Amino acid sequence: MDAGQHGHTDEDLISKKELLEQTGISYGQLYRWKRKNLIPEEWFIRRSTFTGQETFFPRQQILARIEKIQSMKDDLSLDEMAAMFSPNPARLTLSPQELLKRNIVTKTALDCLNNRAGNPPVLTFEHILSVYAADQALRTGTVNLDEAGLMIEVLIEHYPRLEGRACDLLVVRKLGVTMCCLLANPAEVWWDAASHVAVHLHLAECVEELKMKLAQETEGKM
Amino acid sequence: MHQSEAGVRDVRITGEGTLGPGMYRDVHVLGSGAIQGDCRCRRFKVHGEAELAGRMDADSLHVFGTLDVRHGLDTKAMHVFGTLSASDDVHGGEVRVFGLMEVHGDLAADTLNIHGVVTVDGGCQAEWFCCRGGVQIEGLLNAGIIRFDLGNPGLPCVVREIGAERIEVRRRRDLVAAIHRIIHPRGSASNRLTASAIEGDVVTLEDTEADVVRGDQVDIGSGCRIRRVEYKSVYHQADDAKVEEVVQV
Repeated sequence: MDAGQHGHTDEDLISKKELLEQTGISYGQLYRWKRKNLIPEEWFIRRSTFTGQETFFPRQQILARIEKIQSMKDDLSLDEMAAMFSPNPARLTLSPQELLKRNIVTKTALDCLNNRAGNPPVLTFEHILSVYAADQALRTGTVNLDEAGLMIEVLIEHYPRLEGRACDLLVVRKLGVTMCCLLANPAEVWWDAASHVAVHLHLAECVEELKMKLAQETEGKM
Repeated sequence: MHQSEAGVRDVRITGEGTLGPGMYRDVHVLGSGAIQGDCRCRRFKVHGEAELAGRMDADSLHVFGTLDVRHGLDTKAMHVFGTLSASDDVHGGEVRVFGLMEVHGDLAADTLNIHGVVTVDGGCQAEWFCCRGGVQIEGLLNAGIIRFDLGNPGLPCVVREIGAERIEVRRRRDLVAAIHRIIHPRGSASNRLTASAIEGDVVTLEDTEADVVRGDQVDIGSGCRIRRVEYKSVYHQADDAKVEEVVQV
């Protein structure tokens, strides 16, 4: 099982020096992006090496993030990008019809929300996020409709309480019983052998993907 | 107490007084005041001593006496001539400290000007950071432009890590520095900056002690003691600077 954002092995990490070499950015840019919250604090991992204290980053996450920043920086300001990367909900609402029309979620996932939350005429960002996360899990075939509904229920009920902290969503099965929980990061969980983790979603990534999709056609409304 | 046009009050505490949590226009503490919870106001001024049990959100804050904030502090402009102690994070737009400021959390500002002493238990970030006094920062100092004017030997500057676009650390060569040299003829006539790591695009240092300095253009000036320098394009070292190892990367 993926142990979340912590417990990286050495291969998963990239040193700051290697990162700057590989991406061609400078120390100044890296620190500016950190100040503007484009790179989350948790990604700066300090380790002792023979050359002294060094900072490492989760390799895949930081490389993907820098690529995105570099591709978007001509169109968006640093603050706009920060809003996109932050796990804080975007201030926008959509109608269910619009969500389907723009192909952000499938009808199946939206029906799950309607069953649980009673056909809300206007969807808030939390609603959209919960459907989006359930849709991701449904598409990979790892959960059934009931379990997708459970994910939606947990997200709508508890996500606002996290107030923008990074968190993971877990769906766990044991002996035919399914449980769903939100785990605020940084945290690690270890299960007994009979439990099976069906879904482990990094919600920060989900939020980011979703904000990108929403932004693609609503330029300037974020 | 005056009732303003918007319905929020001006408050003045003279002598000894307490104030309930809430929204005010201008709060002025002249004697000793205790605010029993969160306080949101336009201007907050302390001439005596004040204690705030909650968090403060003020457009402008002036501390001439002593202020103790038990939770977070958020201001657009802040001047500390006396002593300010905050038990949590501090966010300020324009921050000037002539006295003493203790932050037991993170400190974030647009511009930070230190003439007195600032201690921060967490990290410190600003777009523009200038220190002519003393600092102790337990975390990372991250700023666009960082400037240290070292001069007063009684005020050491200790920062765990520094990261910025430009970093300039200079020994003051003005009248104040000359007076200090007369007062302290034998010892070091200047305070020093100590950091474990300093990283920036353009790094210019004097009287600095560091384990590692990394940057694109690095200038190690007089009075520095550095274990390892890693530079990319330009490197210069003063004759009396001590550097154990220099690597071009």
